[in-house]
Amino acid sequence: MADNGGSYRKERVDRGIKARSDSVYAIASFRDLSYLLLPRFLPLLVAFILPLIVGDYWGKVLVYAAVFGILALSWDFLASCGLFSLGQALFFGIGAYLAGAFNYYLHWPIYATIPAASVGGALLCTALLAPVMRLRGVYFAMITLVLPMLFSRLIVATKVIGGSHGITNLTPLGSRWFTIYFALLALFVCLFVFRRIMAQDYGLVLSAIRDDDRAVMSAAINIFWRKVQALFIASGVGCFAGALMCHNYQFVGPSAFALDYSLMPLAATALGGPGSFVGAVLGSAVLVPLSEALRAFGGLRIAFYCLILMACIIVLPEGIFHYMARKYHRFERMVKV
Amino acid sequence: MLSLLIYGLIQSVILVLYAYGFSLVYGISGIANFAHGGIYILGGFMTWCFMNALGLPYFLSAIFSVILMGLLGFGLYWGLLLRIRGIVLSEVVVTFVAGIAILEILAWKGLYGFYYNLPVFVKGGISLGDVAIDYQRLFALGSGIALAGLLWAFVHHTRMGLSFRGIAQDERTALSLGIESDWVGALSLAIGSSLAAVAAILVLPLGVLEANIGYDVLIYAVTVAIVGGLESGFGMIAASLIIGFGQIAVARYIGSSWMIIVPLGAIVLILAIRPSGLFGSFKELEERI
Amino acid sequence: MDEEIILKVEDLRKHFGGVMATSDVSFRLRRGEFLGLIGPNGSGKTTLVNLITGFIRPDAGRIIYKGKDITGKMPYTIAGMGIARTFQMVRLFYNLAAYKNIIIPLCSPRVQARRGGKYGERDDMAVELLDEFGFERNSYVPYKAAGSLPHGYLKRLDLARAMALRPDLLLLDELFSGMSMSEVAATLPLLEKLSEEGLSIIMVEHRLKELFRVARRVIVLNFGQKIAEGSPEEVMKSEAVASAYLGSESDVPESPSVEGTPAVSGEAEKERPEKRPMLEVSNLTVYFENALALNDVSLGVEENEIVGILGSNSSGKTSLMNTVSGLILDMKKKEDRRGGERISVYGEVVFKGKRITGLGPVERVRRGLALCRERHPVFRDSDVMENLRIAGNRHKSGEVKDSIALVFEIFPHLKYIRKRKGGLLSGGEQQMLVIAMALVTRPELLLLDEPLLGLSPLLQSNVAEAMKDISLRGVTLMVTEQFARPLLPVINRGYVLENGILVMGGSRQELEENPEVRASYLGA
Repeated sequence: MADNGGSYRKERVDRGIKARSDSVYAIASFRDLSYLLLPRFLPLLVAFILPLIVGDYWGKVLVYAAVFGILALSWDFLASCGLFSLGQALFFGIGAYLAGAFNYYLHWPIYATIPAASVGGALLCTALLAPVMRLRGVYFAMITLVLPMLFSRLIVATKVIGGSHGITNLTPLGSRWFTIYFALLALFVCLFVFRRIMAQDYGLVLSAIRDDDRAVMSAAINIFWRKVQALFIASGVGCFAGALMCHNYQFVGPSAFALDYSLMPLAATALGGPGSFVGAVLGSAVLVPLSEALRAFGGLRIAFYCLILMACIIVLPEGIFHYMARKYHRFERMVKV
Repeated sequence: MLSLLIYGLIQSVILVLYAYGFSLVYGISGIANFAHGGIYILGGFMTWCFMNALGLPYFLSAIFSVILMGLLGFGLYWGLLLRIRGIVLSEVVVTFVAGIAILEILAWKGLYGFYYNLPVFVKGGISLGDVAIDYQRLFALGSGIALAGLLWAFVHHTRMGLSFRGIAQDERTALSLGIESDWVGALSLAIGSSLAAVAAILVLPLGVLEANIGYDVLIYAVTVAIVGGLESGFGMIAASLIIGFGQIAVARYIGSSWMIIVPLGAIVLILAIRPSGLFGSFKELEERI
Repeated sequence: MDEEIILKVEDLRKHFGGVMATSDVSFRLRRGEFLGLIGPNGSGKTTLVNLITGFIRPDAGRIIYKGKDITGKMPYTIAGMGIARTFQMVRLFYNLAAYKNIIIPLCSPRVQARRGGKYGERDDMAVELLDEFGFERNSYVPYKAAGSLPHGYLKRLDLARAMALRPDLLLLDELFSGMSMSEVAATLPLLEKLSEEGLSIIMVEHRLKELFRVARRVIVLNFGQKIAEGSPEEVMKSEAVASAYLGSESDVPESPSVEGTPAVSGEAEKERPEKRPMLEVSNLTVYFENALALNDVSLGVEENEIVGILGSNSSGKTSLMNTVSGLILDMKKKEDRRGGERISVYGEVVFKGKRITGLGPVERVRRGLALCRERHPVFRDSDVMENLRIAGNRHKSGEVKDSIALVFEIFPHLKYIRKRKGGLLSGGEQQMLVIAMALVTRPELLLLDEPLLGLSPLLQSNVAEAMKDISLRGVTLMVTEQFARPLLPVINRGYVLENGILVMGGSRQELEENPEVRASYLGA
């Protein structure tokens, strides 16, 4: 073999503590145990305490962060299958309008509207998008991009369901405490469930479909049906976020299909790190408060997320979460080839 | 009836003008340029700036904008997209986000409402039978058709155009003949952006110069691509005709605010009947390998 | 009796553009039979496998499996019915552990129905299965990422993945390619055992010696047609098979041909005293992930020579051509961006005295090095003229006109079909067009990757003639081929490439007289 004359390559090696704490004997050592548990419990703790110490305004922001986090989780789940959605606003808007309509026209209470909007919305979105599962990836992006915009324009133009004014006076979610903790609970439940799904064999098959769907087909798995299932789950979660927000605002209008709802989850997940789910939550936790702080700048704020998003994609494609996890678990060194 | 025909045709040509740049870029480089709407409006805005801030004549402003947008497209590819080519997620997101950034910055600067517009080239109009058509629309119609012809000639008869044909059909073979796929990709984005600017200059005078129109243009370009099938020139024309005539018919018989239902309906129908588009290559089976 | 027939293929037909990939192929397979499927490269073997497993839909004909018509069904349905396959280009998930690759088929509800077994047992089932295929269950091997395993393991992993479906019919596409002799020796008993246990197997192979140890019956394809069927001995004696594999007796005369110009052999060399080296390849080594495609290959081509590189399949010929032409660097760049297969290239390539190892394909074309890729890819939607003009895109239109005129002299038939679309041309016409396109770029060194592949004997001699013609016009040629007979009369010198290693090199005469070359490539 040819000698490359001393070229080096970077090698990443697991830290000692990671290797040591990988087995059940981690229980024996307090240090190993805290290494494992700290990154898991600290955020939960923070999420529990935060609502108690922030004021009314930031309490509302917390709710938004949770809702956007749920939307971002839905995006991440789709991305894990190779479906890149440019229109989370579609799920959000449909969920919001369904919940609003059930509440306004049928007078259903929130514990009926929210589940109905989630499931009904999931069925509707899946029916709309299922034919795209057989096509190239870019089609999914194009259709999810265009549908929410078309729906909002349609509602404004035809003045149905309140037209551009929307429908107001919907049932609120409850007290301030209930709203915040419910939203946060929903967020963490989604996070937990998605991570569990991906860790199971079901999730293995989904990410295999993303990597090489022909190979998965030859393993006697109907990839199109699996994608439809993933779509159902993700859109259900997205519709849930919309329904939640609808009752939180006590209002739903064409703004439910706004670009913000498509862009934010994307930016949050890209910032946090696609594929990890925790990254989606982390990214939302960073971007939503930031966006509130920048509210004064209006449209410029959106341009700002766009730039952050672009910077992330180009400079740090793995996202903050993966970067931090990598640093936490591994160290680097140069090795001669 | 004649009015329906003429206005339907005009609307269709306008849709082709919107869609051409987007389809061209996809056909050659395989990138769906979601910044298309942003570049459209930016082209129009640049023309306005050249005319009003620098006092240049209309014609010159138009030319400068087209060139400037071409450079922007080239730079977008070479500076950003080149780094992330091959990663589907990144490609899709970067152009999406670039377009939004452009439109939102313009909106923030004040490009909304009715304050800005581009003047028509020639005021007035003519009458065909009992149908009144303004000159601007006729000009857009004629230019649109001429542009399509010019582009066809370009692609089939110039060296640059031929290299586009090569890369669009088989990138690796084109490479082995000395055609640089990166260079061709950047050029395709440059031409796609210039086309967006040309479309803007032709069509914006018919209405207002407003940032939100950029989203509409993007919607139409993408809808035409979905309904007609990506990568198909015939598909783009067929889809534009269907949607264009459909919109005018709806405007005439139901109400102009209902026009937006046509693209939505077209997408839903196409997805139900023939998801890959009217003339889309139903590659599903061949691509199974 | 008919229950004995597990697979019936009837008059299967498939065309791609103007090329008939499968032409009225019919055969039957009995339960438990081991059928070999052989034929030269491009004869349609993999297409047949793709048709049977549902990855391609046939234009006509039927496929009947266990009495049911499966023509045109989806690949996952067919796999669920008990037909499993391996892929020529191994399709595994390199970043997943080996055993996780096996879990994926176990997740299919159809497979679960066939196998039984409960949900929680998949991990164990996967490791058990791998153990049967040489992945020691008590070692760390099943848990290693597939990408870090040596090539022989990968092939067996692919086989294990197929067997995880508990198939009744197994289609193997070039399982042995890239395997060392010892790996093949380890895998053969496995296949024998599976066959004895009642599994029906169709095996596509190029390594005939090894195949014939297990296959009782063999079908030979050429140009998409079945040209022979029978026991291995019967089939190898057939003249049709010999000429399909080895090429026909060459019709190319060795004496001076075109316009009395000197022959492309010894005398010509003496008349040109100053022969500078056109191409020098040193210690070229190429890896695709962990598979070694080229192993320390060094060779040279001098000005105005025609050098042949003989080799059967997976000998590394195409990798060599891709490396010399620079295409491999583009492939590497794209795979690196995607995070796909890692391609590693070591060694040096020197062209006209200058190092071009790091240069991309476009720059190399600029310097006068052109490649005609294997399987003659042309621009399908453009007509012949447009194809040629695309090729000429680097040159001024006057030069291009001249080049095209020159090309029409060499290939008069192209002028006749110049308005026909590339996708509708026959294989031979496409091959001529591809060579013509490369000539339009005005190369000094022309690389031809298997130009005679899939061509009728007449066309093979036409192309060989054209090669001489081109050489006489001052172009140096390097040609890879599996068909020795029509190629040898044309070349000055040759090398033999086997499994990525250059095993021999010499003058035409030396190669013709070498007994091993005669045996493997000339079929003495």
